[in-house]
Amino acid sequence: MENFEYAHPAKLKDAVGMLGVNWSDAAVLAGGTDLLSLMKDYVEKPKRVVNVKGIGELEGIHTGKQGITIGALVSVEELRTNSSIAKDFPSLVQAAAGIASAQIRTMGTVAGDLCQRPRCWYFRNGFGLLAQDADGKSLVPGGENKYHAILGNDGPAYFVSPSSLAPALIALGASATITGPGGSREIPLANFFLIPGSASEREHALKPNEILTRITIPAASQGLSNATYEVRQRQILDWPLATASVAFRLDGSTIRSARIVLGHVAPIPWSATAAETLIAGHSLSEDLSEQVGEAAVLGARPLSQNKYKVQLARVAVKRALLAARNPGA
Amino acid sequence: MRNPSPREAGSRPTLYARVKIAGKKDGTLTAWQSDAWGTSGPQAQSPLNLPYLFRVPNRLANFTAVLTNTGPTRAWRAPNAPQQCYVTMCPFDDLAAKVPMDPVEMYRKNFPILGARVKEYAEQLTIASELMDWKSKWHPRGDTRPGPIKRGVGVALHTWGGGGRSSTCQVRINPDGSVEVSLGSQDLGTGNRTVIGIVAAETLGLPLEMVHVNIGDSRYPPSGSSGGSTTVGSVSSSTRITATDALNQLFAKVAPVLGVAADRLEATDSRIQAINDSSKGLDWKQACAKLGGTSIIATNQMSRDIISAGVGGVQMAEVSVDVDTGVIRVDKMVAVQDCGLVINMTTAESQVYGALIFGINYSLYEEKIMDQQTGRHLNPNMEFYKLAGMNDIGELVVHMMTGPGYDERGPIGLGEPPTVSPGPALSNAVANAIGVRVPELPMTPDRVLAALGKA
Ligand SMILES: Cc1cc2nc3c(=O)[nH]c(=O)nc-3n(C[C@H](O)[C@H](O)[C@H](O)COP(=O)(O)OP(=O)(O)OC[C@H]3O[C@@H](n4cnc5c(N)ncnc54)[C@H](O)[C@@H]3O)c2cc1C
Repeated sequence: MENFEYAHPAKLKDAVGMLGVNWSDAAVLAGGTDLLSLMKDYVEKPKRVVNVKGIGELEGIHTGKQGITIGALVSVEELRTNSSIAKDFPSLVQAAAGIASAQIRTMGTVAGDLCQRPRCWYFRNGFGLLAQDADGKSLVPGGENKYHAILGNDGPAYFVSPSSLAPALIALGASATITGPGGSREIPLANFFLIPGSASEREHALKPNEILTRITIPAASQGLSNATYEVRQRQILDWPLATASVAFRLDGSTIRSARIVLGHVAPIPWSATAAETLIAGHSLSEDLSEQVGEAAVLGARPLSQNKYKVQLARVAVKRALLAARNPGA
Repeated sequence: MRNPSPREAGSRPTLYARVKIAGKKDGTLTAWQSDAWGTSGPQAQSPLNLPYLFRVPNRLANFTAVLTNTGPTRAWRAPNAPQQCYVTMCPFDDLAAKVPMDPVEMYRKNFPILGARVKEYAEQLTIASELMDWKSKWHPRGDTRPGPIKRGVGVALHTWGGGGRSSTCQVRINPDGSVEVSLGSQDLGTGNRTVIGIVAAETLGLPLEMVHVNIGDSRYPPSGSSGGSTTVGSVSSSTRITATDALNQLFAKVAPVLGVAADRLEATDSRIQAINDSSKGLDWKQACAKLGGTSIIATNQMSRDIISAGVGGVQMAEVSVDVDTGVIRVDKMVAVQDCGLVINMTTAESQVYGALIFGINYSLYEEKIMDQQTGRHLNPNMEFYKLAGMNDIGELVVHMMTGPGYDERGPIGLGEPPTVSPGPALSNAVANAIGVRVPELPMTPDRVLAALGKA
């Protein structure tokens, strides 16, 4: 780890002021479960670390007319065990429950989960976010890519978006509030994630001097059937190989306004729009959920070692749909 | 785990093979042909013998050593045996599926060519089958029940050497009755210290807490390194012999006091007394007080006469496989193992539990990923160098063979043998469940789905 300057502001405004215009100037520290690993491995070398854990404005889950707001510092465990979230959004609880271990869920925050850096092992070994060799050629297509992207992988980015919470939140129509020197802005969470086109870009919409302050799930999402299904090899402390989060409204038995978002298959949480269109207006059956799974992976272009993830994404969609229809089954 | 540990420590040698295997309709193996290759990194690997264990009448086996720049090779519990066992017991199981025949029966059919430990295997297969409820769980290859979760069982068996290496022990009996046993040996966490203490205490007729064991320092008399499952054979032997010498010196001291010939004395229940006449005796402490101002110091070597080499084991695995995701769950594993005289049941069983967990890890999870383009080890961390968690392990049942036929052989090392069979036992269970062979370890979801034609 390189030396760094440490700041522990009590106010959001002060924290924003302590960040820099370049990513290397400063890093936001929340639970530290990702940032510290990145620093120890010399992947991130911020000159200043700004610990936001003391900022009260970033705490708490609040229910209001507009919906539920989740403060940036809410821990993943707090999210998992919150009763209003459990009541309306099992999909989010299921996504949170799969994350790492009780220890990491307790330290790790919601904003940290959304802003954590990709787990691509080339990135984590110091080859940069785009995993390029000295000539700027990506190491991924010809390398070890069994955990890499099968969708949205036209290049130069091949990593997968690591957040398990993001697909569930996006399927529920959540938005993100971002605060910078000029004030706050709110954007759909779906637009928060970006596929970088060059080595100087990041995988999200934050500027170096901005802080993700809260997530809002709109009140309209209440009453949606929703579920998350994750495929992971081990039962604990393992990254999902593919996930699907779905949310839809049932009009009698007819499906309306369906959202289907895949996780860990693309550099961003992947909205399966063709699948959403296919399912709308139908009633859900085993057969249909199978077809929808198929539609969700249309256009998938597996790399040399990850064809199996196409199958996993397909199955995740099918199982998430069936689980949303029969909660608790 | 720090990155340098997996990066610099070296790797186990790999083994791949193309195997042709032939047998009669009754299940007897008649011919074996294998083209095998593997790497030990930059050094040439000595040819690996195939098949493992079976003495097949017609055999052609080629081995090609491949040199790579992936770093040096390191011994990996039972060097080469898990690899050889896997490359042998999986094709054997495939042949059983072809016959078709219950593989447990087919092992029995092949006892004449299964080497020196068939008497043990016969007993162990029976016990393992009962503990696994094999007869009711085994079905012909491919679970035909509806739904994506398929269940299956598999079996494999193994042998290993053990024996002992040079070991010197010093036993000191002090006039205050305290006892010190010193060896330049080491406890890797296997219970070596416990075992040394037990052997000394039992020889001297004392409770374990009366014996102070000194190990882990090169100032103590030299004792071999831990490797090749030789530690327990070495240290139990040197400790037994040296403690007996020390005790004989004590007998010589107290014999005149008791008016009993030294060779008519015994040490039991913290007393030195005449054999068959406990009235002629002294408490341990009183006896040691007769030493006056000088301690007894005995130093001696191990002897191969009171230990043995060569063990056998049978393992069975039961798994559930999700054929839509390729994810394998271990439901249960049974290990039946002999190791001659068991000195301490808890530490012996622990070795076997540990070996099963080790086996689940290398069969399902562990994989060192090397990037061919940059030569970098991409997963030198616990995140992507995967190891099982509690929930991934399933029920483990361990049965140690004891009693006549085993105890009188003396102690035999146990660190390595039970790590040999888990790979093929699990692979065979998966094949029994899903109907096809996943031809590589670890059996990760990508490989399972590829074997099923779904990826
Ligand atoms: C073994 C293991 C398994 C895991 N498995 C999963 C999994 O299955 N699914 C999953 O989703 N996650 C998983 N995680 C990741 C875990 O959820 C994250 O590490 C955690 O949520 C990060 O939160 P944190 O508060 O500790 O973030 P930190 O480490 O403090 O920060 C992470 C990153 O986010 C930035 N950041 C944090 N807060 C803000 C903010 N408010 N505004 C702007 N930037 C911010 C930091 O600068 C840093 O770059 C796993 C982690 C481990 C170690």
